Amino acid sequence: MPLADGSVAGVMTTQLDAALGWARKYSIFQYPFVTACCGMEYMSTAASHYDMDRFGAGFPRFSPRQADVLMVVGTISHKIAPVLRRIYDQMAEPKWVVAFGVCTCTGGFYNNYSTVQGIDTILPVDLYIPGCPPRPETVIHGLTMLQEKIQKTQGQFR
Amino acid sequence: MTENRLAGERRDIPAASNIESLSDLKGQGYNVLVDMTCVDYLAQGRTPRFDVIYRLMKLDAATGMDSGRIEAHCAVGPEAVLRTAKDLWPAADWLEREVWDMFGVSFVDRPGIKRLLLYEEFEGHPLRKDYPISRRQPLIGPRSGDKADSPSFNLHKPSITGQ
Amino acid sequence: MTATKGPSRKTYMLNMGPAHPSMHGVVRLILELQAETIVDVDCEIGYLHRAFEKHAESETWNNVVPWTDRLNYVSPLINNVGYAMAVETLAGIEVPERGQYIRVIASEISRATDHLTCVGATAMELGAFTVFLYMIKAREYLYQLIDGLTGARVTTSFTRVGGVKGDLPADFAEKFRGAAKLVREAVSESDRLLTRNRIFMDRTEGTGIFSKEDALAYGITGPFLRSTGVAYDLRRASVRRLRSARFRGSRGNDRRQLRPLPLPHGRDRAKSAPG
Repeated sequence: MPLADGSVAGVMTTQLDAALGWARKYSIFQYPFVTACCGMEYMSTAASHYDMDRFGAGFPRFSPRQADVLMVVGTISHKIAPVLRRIYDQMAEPKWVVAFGVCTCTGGFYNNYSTVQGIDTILPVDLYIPGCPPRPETVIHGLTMLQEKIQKTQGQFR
Repeated sequence: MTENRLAGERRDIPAASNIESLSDLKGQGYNVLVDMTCVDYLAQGRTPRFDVIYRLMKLDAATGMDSGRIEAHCAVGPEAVLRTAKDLWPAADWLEREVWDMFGVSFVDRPGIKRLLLYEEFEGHPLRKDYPISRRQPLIGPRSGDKADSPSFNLHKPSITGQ
Repeated sequence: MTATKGPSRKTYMLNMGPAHPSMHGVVRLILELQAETIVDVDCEIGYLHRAFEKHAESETWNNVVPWTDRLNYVSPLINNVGYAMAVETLAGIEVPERGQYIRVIASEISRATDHLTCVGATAMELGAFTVFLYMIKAREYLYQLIDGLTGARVTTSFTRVGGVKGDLPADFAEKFRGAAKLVREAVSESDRLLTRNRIFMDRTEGTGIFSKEDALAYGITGPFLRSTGVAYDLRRASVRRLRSARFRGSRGNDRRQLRPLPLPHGRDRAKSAPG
């Protein structure tokens, strides 16, 4: 949206981005793509003891159309990789991807014929949370880092 | 060592008449197929190369006590000699698919046997000893929507009518 | 699984999974439906095939233990014990009695976490999210106990061939009593929420009935087999019996109290199964 005075426009866009980022980072609708062991720690983090809801990420949506953070929780095998990619494609912008657990980061110790060696070979990843599985504290730390990243996301998405 | 009733006695049965031997065992009261698996003796240089193993259990449904186990071994090569045991125990259906999937041992009367755990594009049979652990396969993309096991199947065929 | 299909009746096909809004997991069902009745189903598995066996081929016996954690990650300690027992049977190794006790205690804690997760998740899928929160809270106490025992919450790698990683921590008994009390409270809260809940009972009671004969033919084991009326319990039918009378005496109690909930549909299956 070009305005006559470029500097005013710059200020406004920055302010708007900051406001949008602030709104987005505290209303994370996550899609937990849970396949394996990390799901246990995902449940622990989401449930009342660690309570991810305190950080504005309390509402898992099991439809990719309603989610803005794709949490890939657990080992991704070659067989399920096309499904994961498809789910990523179905999500609306802006979207972020979290690789939860070492299997999704690098393949972990499943260095074999059936395991995808890191989901970044099939989709872009914004945040890696290592651990096998990561403890809930690590997940919460990761979540706050993701929030920082969301805050800094600029641009218009329609 | 305490006595181990789970171990079971080993018995070798001829591969060409596996169904006769197995139904004989079923007649003797071995009513549960606990597991069916395969061992590759490539490193030992044995011919035939594989042992297909049926683990059977006598389980008394009334008392819930198991009164004996047996391990039936069939020595086979990769070519189809064995016949399917799924008419004796329906549990054998998936187990035979797994043996095909992992070891490439096929069955005479199941010509179009489908892999159980891996996908059709996978080349080779990974639990054979000559499949190196470091061998990778290319990632598969979304397949054509015509195949029933393709992720896009239901999009391309929203509904089909049965008979 | 099969039903009579009239020649003029139309059926349609519905794909569920492996990622479905109401069925999160790694299984795919291709259903054939007639109105809302499932007349046939084709099941596709293998989405979590991680080549455990191939890794086990190229590792030493004790190095395989970490992979066994991740087989049934809801109760990893039982997998550790099962694997170690298999290797010990092959090698003819006897485990010291204390080691056997520790394995049983660890397995029972793990079994409780498994049931808590299972019943909690079942309730969540039926809309009772509160039960899920209560049960995961209870599981958290047990995870902390397991953390103290093994050094990890989920992936325990606790057993070694011939024994376990180490002795129980010094304050284990006290911590266990504390955790067990909290777990019992959470379980009884959940019990009050579920057992007389019309929605939960209507949707579980009398569903998924399996006959005794089918169960044996398909090689079904464990609680599922027992729910059909076959009283087969591997722990009873197999070899290992711990000798201490004191332990046997308390074992019945423990089992009853540790079991989070008698599954209503399981109970019903036992009653309504033909044969």
